[in-house]
Amino acid sequence: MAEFIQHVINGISLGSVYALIAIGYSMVYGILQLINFAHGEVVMLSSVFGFYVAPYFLAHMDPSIGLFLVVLTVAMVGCGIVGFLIERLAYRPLRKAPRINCLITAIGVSLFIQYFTQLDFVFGAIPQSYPELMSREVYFTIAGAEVSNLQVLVLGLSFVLMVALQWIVYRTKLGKAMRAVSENTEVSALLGIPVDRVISFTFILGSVLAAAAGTLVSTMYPKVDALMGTLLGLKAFVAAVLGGIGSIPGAVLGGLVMGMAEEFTVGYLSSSFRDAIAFAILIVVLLVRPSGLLGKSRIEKV
Amino acid sequence: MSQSLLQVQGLGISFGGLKAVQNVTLEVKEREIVGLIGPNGAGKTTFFNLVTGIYKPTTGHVAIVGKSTENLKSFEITNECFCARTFQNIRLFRDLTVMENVLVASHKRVDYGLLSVLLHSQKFQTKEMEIRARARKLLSIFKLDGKEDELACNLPYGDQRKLEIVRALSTEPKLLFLDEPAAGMNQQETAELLKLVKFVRDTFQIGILVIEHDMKFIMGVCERIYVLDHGMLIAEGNPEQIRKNPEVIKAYLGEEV
Ligand SMILES: Nc1ncnc2c1ncn2[C@@H]1O[C@H](COP(=O)(O)OP(=O)(O)OP(=O)(O)O)[C@@H](O)[C@H]1O
Ligand SMILES: [Mg+2]
Repeated sequence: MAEFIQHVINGISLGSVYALIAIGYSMVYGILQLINFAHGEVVMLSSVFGFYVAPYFLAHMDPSIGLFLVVLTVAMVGCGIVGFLIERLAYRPLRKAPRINCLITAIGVSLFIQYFTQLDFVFGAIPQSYPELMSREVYFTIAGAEVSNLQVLVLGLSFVLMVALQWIVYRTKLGKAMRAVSENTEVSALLGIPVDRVISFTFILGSVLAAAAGTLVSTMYPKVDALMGTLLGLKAFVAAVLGGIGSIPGAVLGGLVMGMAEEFTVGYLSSSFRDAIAFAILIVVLLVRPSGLLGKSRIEKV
Repeated sequence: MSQSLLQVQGLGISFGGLKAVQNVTLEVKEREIVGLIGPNGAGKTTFFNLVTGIYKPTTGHVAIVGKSTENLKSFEITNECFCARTFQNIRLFRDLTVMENVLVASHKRVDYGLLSVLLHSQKFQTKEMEIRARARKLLSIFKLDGKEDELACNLPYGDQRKLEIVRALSTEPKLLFLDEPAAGMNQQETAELLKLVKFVRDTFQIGILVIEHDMKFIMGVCERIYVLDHGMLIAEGNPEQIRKNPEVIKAYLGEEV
């Protein structure tokens, strides 16, 4: 029983990270019908930013939640700028181009960031260890299962960010505009909504969440690798599809299911299936319910 | 002095070989309700699409409130030329509530930054209340009050048409384009709409260009009417003149035969 609960707890914390990344995929898809394959790379860059700035702050403060938050803030700002630039430089010029052009560009941007990061004067091809921002300790135990302070942090931060996102999307003017643009870009423009600005904002928002995910991942598994974004990104993408791409609550649900599935596979089957399970899920979803758990299968009227 | 709200000069567009709109010259003055009629496929909706910046014209020139729309994007035409439109096939934001549909269209009025939103500043609160009050007033004019929190897609058809007009008015236009506002409405609803359109013009002192197939509606609401056939203007005049115009009769009968 203790083991089962342990897996559930681990699964939820891993799932929250997937959820944070999946939200970015879903929001961008909702607005541009584009799968932003470069999104995983933003997660990776978050860890790279942390890798470079943490030592500077470590010189002045001890590992603590305070340090974590400082590094997180820097990563969020950095990734927000990266997200903005990706959209501005790569996708905006293609706004009227066929969708396949955008998709290929997304893959190109993803590869560009990966290989650029691997350059020696940038980060390098060799994985590095991520500075310890917080010392890991058992925070409390329930029914024999151990919950670490990092897991509490993951859950707490994800929760706060998702509530904040919900608030932005449903309560602010920009959030309303985002929902309007994702329903109909043309009509939104005709109502005076600055569509391009709303799209920029969406990318920034998604990238800021990805930054949180990256910093959390590297704090839990202290490694930075220029290629780490690929698998994380793909799994989060599967989570977004599972939840119903375009739907934010769907992304959260999909992320949690993915995290659980992965954790249980590792726990009860074999850790060599860790990554395979994601793609097994993808195949099943595409066969059984292509619109995802919370997605709408809307009939397009022509 | 009656200033010109919409000035269109020799406007035209071709899709491949099809000249959907050719050499259209037309004007809407302040506080005027003008009709644009013509048989199916005459190019009326295409004309709206040209004027609001969805299509780029192949020939001609459009000025709204004296401003050329040539290098403006759709959202800039709406914001800087103070115009708004509705659509022939209803295009509401289905997943937004009635209130949100109206609020989202007052985007340009909401100039407070994210910071003052986060801090919930005084300025933000006053402005937010002002905008909501205006939205509520517009909704009540169209008898949509009490439905603020319903999803737009759950409204009955006639209400959806009215909500589209409210949403367009929420951008505070000086010029309103209505594309078949009475389509699908029954006689009583159409008669009610006719009064509403006049009321809106009188209350907000705006100019209106309206496309409609319902002749009773058009003749009842318009001061002047333009008739389009095969992309070309074939007549212009007051309802009485249009009713008697042989060209117009031919265009409409030709369609029916
Ligand atoms: N994007 C487009 N590409 C090609 N042809 C088009 C396009 N838009 C409109 N047309 C054609 O232009 C002509 C005019 O269409 P339009 O929709 O403007 O007619 P309308 O006067 O609004 O008719 P209705 O009363 O049926 O709404 C039609 O023949 C239509 O097929
Ligand atoms: Mg039409």
